[in-house]
Order: sequence, then structure tokens, then C-alpha cells
Amino acid sequence: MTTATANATQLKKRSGRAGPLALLLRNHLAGFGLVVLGLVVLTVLVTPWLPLPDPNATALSDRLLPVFSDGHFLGTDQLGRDLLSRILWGTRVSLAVGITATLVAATFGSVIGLLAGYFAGRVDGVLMRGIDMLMAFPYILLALAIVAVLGPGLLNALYAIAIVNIPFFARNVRGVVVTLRNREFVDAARLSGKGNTLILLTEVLPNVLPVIVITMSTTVGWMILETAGLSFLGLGAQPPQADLGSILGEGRRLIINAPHVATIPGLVIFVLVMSINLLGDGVRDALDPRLKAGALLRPAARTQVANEAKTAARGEQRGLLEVKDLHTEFRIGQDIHRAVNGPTFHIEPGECLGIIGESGSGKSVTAMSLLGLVASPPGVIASGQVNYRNENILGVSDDRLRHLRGGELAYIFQDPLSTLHPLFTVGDQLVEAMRAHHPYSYREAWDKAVTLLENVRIPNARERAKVYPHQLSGGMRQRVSIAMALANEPQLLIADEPTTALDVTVQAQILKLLNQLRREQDASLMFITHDFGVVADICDRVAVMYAGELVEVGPVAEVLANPAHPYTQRLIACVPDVNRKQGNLTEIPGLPPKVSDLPVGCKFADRCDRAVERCRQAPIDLEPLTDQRQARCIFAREVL
Amino acid sequence: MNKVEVTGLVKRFGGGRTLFRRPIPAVHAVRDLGFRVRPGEILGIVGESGCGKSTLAKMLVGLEYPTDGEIRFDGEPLAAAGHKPNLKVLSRRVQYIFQDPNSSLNPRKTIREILSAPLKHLRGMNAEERERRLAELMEHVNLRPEFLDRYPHEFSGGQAQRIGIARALAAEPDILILDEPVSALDVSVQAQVLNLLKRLREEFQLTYLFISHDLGVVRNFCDRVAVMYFGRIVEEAGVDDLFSRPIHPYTRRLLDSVPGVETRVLPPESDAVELPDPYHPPQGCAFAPRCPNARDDCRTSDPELADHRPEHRAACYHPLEHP
Repeated sequence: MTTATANATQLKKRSGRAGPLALLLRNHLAGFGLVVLGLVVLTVLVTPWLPLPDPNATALSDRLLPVFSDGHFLGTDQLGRDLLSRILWGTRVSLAVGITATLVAATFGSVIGLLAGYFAGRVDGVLMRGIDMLMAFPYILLALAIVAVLGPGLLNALYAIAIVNIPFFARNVRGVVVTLRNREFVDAARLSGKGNTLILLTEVLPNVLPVIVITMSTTVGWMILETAGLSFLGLGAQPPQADLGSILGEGRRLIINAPHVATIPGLVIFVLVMSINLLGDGVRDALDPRLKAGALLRPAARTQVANEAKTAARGEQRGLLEVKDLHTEFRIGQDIHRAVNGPTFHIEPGECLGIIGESGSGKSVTAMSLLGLVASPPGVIASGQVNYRNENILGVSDDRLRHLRGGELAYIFQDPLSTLHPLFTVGDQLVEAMRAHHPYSYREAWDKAVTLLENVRIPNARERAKVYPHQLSGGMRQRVSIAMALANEPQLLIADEPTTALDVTVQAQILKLLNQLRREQDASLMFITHDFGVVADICDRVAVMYAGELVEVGPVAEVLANPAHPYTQRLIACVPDVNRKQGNLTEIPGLPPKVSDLPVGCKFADRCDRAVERCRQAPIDLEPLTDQRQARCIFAREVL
Repeated sequence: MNKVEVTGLVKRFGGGRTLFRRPIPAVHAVRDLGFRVRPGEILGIVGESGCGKSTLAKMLVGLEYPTDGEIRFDGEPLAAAGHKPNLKVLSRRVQYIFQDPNSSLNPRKTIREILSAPLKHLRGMNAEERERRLAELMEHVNLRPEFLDRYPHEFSGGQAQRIGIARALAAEPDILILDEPVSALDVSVQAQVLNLLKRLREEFQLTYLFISHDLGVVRNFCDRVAVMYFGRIVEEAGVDDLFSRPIHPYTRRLLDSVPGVETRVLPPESDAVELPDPYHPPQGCAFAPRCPNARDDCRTSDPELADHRPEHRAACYHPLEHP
């Protein structure tokens, strides 16, 4: 019994992210499509054993019987053949042709796409120009031409439809293969001794399969329609054999006298293709990794804030910005990932506070939470306060928040290439940033933009304002994003790893620049980084983050010289010193705890060599050590 | 004999002409490069992005082909003149460790499949031998054997990098090319991986070529260092010599730029400096526009890499003085 419950909870834990089938069924329309298609397929599979009249047996005395006639449930056609039987047999043919054509097109198209994408260069040129030529013809004309050459007949219609659809597969597959080919695991496979054939079959193909399946599921419906179309024109199934298209085609002439002969096959085609398309869309949504990551859910304009946090009492505020007991979590399926677990800190006017931590420590999420930039869903600010000038930002109106963002509070992000718009000149982007907050004319704003670029020491600013982001080097781009952040005279700059993507010599320049600007404009700076050297260069105080909590806060020089928390101590010891050789580097054993399953007591206890029973029993508070320093460790006082 | 010897290496991308006889612009990623690595040594290659260090690494393992020049391992050329290297032979001798551990592991393969590939294709082991060797490899890199049946996304960055190391070791090479192997990792994990690499080098008598932009890591991990700028080596020396008494102004600039260091020697750089444009390389020394010591001769001809002190080479007409 206990093992059963244990298994059940384990199962529950695993289902935090749903599998493809569950995702598919979550889409009700796709589920409906699956059921309808399943019923149709089942019916046509058992057709040979059903007590039906021969679909090709003519009985001229019984011609054009209406629906629900005795012995002919759906009536008969102009030759007295049973319509129900003909439609079931015809659906069999249509489905078989549609699916076979899809398989043929998928096979040839994928092979062409794989080869073209993988070998690139001349192979790609020749194959894809061939595909382009196929695509240059209107496809129904091309199909007609192929059938005209090969002669009418079901098999030839199948060939025609398969050939016409090869380009769809080839193009889709090639696109994916081109990006895969440059991935490092392909190089790695080559260095593992695999040849081109093996790499294509065992490394590339498994990663392309979902795309092939998606393309198949979305084209089967088309293929059935196209087969029906060719048969309707008399180029597909030849009498007495019939598919849905040819039944429809024969019934067309009787549409006035006996409408049911044409209407019923038309309806069947409709139901069949509709169910396949609904299912195909569902399959695509379930398998496409971009959609799986939640791209279908449009994130809200600001992070969802729990009511508790909105209405929290303000009280007396410390500094320019004060963060009190902030909790931000991500709710994904059954799991709650507690990324930020109650940091409390403040920033004085003109001060630079460094927030340091490793990846996953919650430092970026903390910074993004301040102005509601965490994507919702799945992000939720569960409780806490963010007070800026006696105003709880978590509770302000959307208008007020928009005014603060990029106005008094501005961000600088790690990668300027992804934060600057690639299609606008940097000058235009600065103009837009200013005009969002001030009623400047375009010309006024442009002049100010040039001044801003001069302020961030971009040489030849008047000319550089007219270039696009990709024309600038990484360092220059980061200067542009700093200029943008400064556009509306911010009181507080929030810089999230602004120099991590830069080379050391460029980093040194950007740090120097940020320091100068902060002094000139008397702005506060919240600097998020993982590098102690950077903190030492630019920050006044530093807060060390671990598993979403602050473990130590204090003036930079004191914390670096005499760290109080074991995590800070060991983290500093890990950093290889450029001034001397240390022999073996100290390492921190183990990994940080999972934020979906945090321990009750000290979060660092499992990796700490000083941990005792008391560390694990209850939460440890962030205790003041001096009036400037705080640490979250029961042994912290021993250090000072 | 030198384990690795590189002479006059050149790699040009682009060049030639289009179908319509229009010239395609050419970029020299690596220009006239030469160095030697002794057996069992760790040579660090330091430089900023775009200096050609990754292109060099790819040429050493045969993933790129040099435009000119020669690479020799134990005196034997990497490939016969004018031929592409035979990767099946080369990979048994030289292996590569990638910067991003996660993108170098195929997301749709288990660790067992990933590690088995070199054993099967390079070492020709049968199923039984492979099974034994897999267990050994996992032990070498401190991973539990039950991880073999998991997929790459289930691992943290440090664990994934150790799998990358295990894959390289599986080929039983004696030279490892490490292309920024720890720059994607957190500092606490970085130390774990570096210490592991040090231990493995002693255990298997490996020779490392360690490419990095992190000077702290290089100082603590390497025996000798070569500094690259704009496709060339500008300075090469023993690690302590180079860090305490650099000759080339670019090396000094790098050392001064490390955040957190207290003493800076050179005056801060002016804001106008930018890296040279690879499509229009400057005449003379590529560093001259940024160099506080640059004079007229620097701008007319490119200095050769020459001995300035024993075991200390630099390409500079006006080296930094050391008391």
C-alpha cells in the first residue's frame, strides 16, 4: 500500500510536463478529430466483412432510389448501385491513396531535404533548384500534366499527387537540417568516427523526425482532397472502381434530380479531411518544441501579482528602492518552482548594489520581478513588496508601471543583440524610447539621441546614430543599450550581467563608463553578476544570492576580505586568481538544491562542511552582524 | 620530439570568385601561426573573440582544413599535402572538448549511445568490451554508471561537460584540444571540471591545448601560454613569466582589463578603439591603433615573433620594459 502511494506520488511528480499524447488530448478539437477519424478508419477496415451489397453490382430497375430506401440505406445511384456500399469502399480507396501518396512524398521529400541541408554547397544548389522548379508550377496544373503524360488511373494520380507534394517536405526538412548541421553534436559525432551516412541516419534524422511527422499530419488531408479532385475530373479512379472523388463526379450530373448522390460523398470528404486536419494541428502543437515551451500562451504585459502582495502595507521605506520579502515562483503543471525566496534589501540614492550568484540562484528573476517583467504564465509574484519612493510598485496601475519602466527605472540586459530591434537604426530606437515618455518632436528627440550616444562615448555619434545594431561591435551595441537606458534620466539602473557577453578589454571599458555615468547623473545602480572581480570594481555593497535567498549582504571590500557565510567563502575560493598560481582549485562539491523541492533549513547545508543538525531543522534567518553586514548562518559571528 | 608542431598555418575564409567572376571578400582567420607543444604539457591559447583561436582548434582536430601551413603530431603530418585528413585515424590521436556541453550532446540519444560511438567506430570494440569500457569511463569522470541510460537534458552543465570529457577519452587520444571547456559553467562547477582535467592528464599522460579567454583559469591551469590577436600569436612564454613580466602591450592590456585587479600598468584605453576590420586588415601591426607604444614602424610593417628572453617570444618592435 505504502509503495503504491509512493509510486503514485512519484508518477505525479513526473507529470509536471505532459507527454505528447496528453498534450494532444488536452486539445479538445484534436481529440474530436482523432475520435472521428478513428471511427471512419475502423468502419472502412471492417467493410469487407459487413453485410453490404456488391458496390459494383448494377440494377437498373432500382436506379436513383432515395435515402433510407428499403435495403439501400443511402439510396442508389444512376446505375442502381448501393450508395452506402460504394461510399465505404470509395473511402477505403481515398484513404489508402491519400496515405500512400503522403508516405511516398514524405520519403522522397525528406531524403532530398536531408541531403540538400547536410551537404550544402553544390548538392544543395542542384537539389533545391529542382524543387524550386516543381514549386514554380501551379500544383494542380502540374498534377494534371503528370496524369496527362502517364495516362488516367488511380496509381498515376497517386504518383502525381506525391510528386506535387515533395517540395513541401524537402523545404521543411532542409530548413531544420541546415540548423542541425552546424550544431556541435554533429562535429562531435564526426570526431567519434562516424561517417556522413551514419551521421545523417543516426544523429540528424532522429532530430528531424518530429518535423516530418508534423508535415505529414498536416498534408494527409490535402492529399485526400487532391486525389478526390483528380478523380472528380475523371483522371483518377476509373470505372467501375470508385473513390470518393469519382462518386462525387458522377453524381454531379444528377444534382437536380437526385442531389443525395453528390451530397453524401461530398459530406464524407468534408468529415474525413476536417477530422484529419484537426488531428494534424493537434499533432503539430504537441510535437513542435517551440509551441511546447508555452509560446502559444501569450505572456501578459506584466507579471501576475497575488492580491496579498498588491495590497501589502507600505510602512516606512528605506533608501530609494526597497525590496521586502519578495517571493516569485513559476507554476508549471503540478510543480511550483520557487525561484525567489524572500530577499529583503534596499538601494540608497547614488549607490551601486551588486547582486552576485550562480546560474539558477534567482538573481535575474529578482531583478525582473521589480518591474513585473517575469513572463506570466508561468511566473507569479506570490508575496512581498517592491517600494520605490513610498509606492508599492507591485500594486500600481498598468499605466503607472509603463511610465516607470524605461523612465525612472531602466534596464540594461546581457545581450544587446537580442534586446535591440534589428530592423531600426539605433538612433530611431533611442528616439522611440524618449518619445514614449516625453512629447518631443522627432527632430528634437533625434538631436537628444545623438547627445546620448556622445555621452556613452560612441565616437562619431552623429553618423553612428544612422546604423543598424548588426553593424556595431558587441561593446558598441552595449553602449547603445546603456544610452537607451539613460534616455529618460533614470533614478535607478538595473543592469543584468551587462558585460558577461563581452571580451575582457571591452568589459573594462563598459565598467569604466557605467561608473562615470552613475557619478555624473547621480543615479543608483543595481548590478547583477556572477563575477566577484566585477563587483569589486564597480559596487559599493554586495548581496550574495543562493537558491533564491540572500545569504550575505555587506560592503564589498569587507565581504571580499572577510566573508561570513560559508557559501561566500567557498565561492570566492573557487575563483582562479590571475595574480598567482594556486595548485589545485578549491571546488564546492555537489549541486544547488532544486527550486521545486527546497529543504526546510539552510539551503546550503548539503554542500557545507560545517553543517550540523541545527542547520537543517528550521529556516535560518538573515541576522545582522554589524550595522552594515548581515549573514544567514549560525556560525557567521565567529568570522568577525 | 614535439607532440604538436604547427608552422606557417593560414586559414582564409571566402575568397575566390562568384559565378559571375565577382571577387568574394576574404577573411584571414588565422595568419601565419606557429607554435610547439611538448609531450605532457598544457599550452594555453588566450585571446578575445574573433582572434581565430576556435578556428585553430578546429583545424587541429581536422574539422577545418588549413589554407596553408602544416600541422604535425609526433613529427607526422596531420594529412598528406593537399589531402583532407582521415578523421578515423586522426581522431584516435587527437580529441576535442566543446565549449557548450549541452549543444555537443545529441538531445535524442542516451549517454550510452553517445559514449559507445567512439568505442565502436574508432576502437572497433565488440559489445562486451564496450560495456566494460563504458563503466570505466564513467568512473574516470566521477559519474554514476546508472546515468548511462539517461538523456542529455537531464544533466546539469558540469555533468554534461564531464560526459563530453568521457567521450573524448573514449577514443584513447594522447592530445586533447579543449575549446573554452569551462566558460559556460559556474565558478563552483568550473573548479570541479578543471581539477578533473588535471587528474586525467596525469593518469593518462595527456597533452592539452587549452583555449580560453579567462586569464585566471589560464594562469592556474597551463604550463605555457600563447596570446593571440587578430589571427596571430603576439606573445608566447611560460605561464609565470608571461603573467608577471609580459612583453607585448596587448598582453599587458589583457592583464589590466581583468576585473578586480588592484594595480593597472597601462593608462586606460580611449573609448574610440575598436578591433580591426577583418575584411580590411591594417597594414603593419594589428594592435598598433590601440597600442600606447606604437610608432611609425609599427604601422608600416608587421613585427615577426622573435625571442626577447629565453623561452619568451613576442611580436613587437617596442616591447614593454621590465626592471
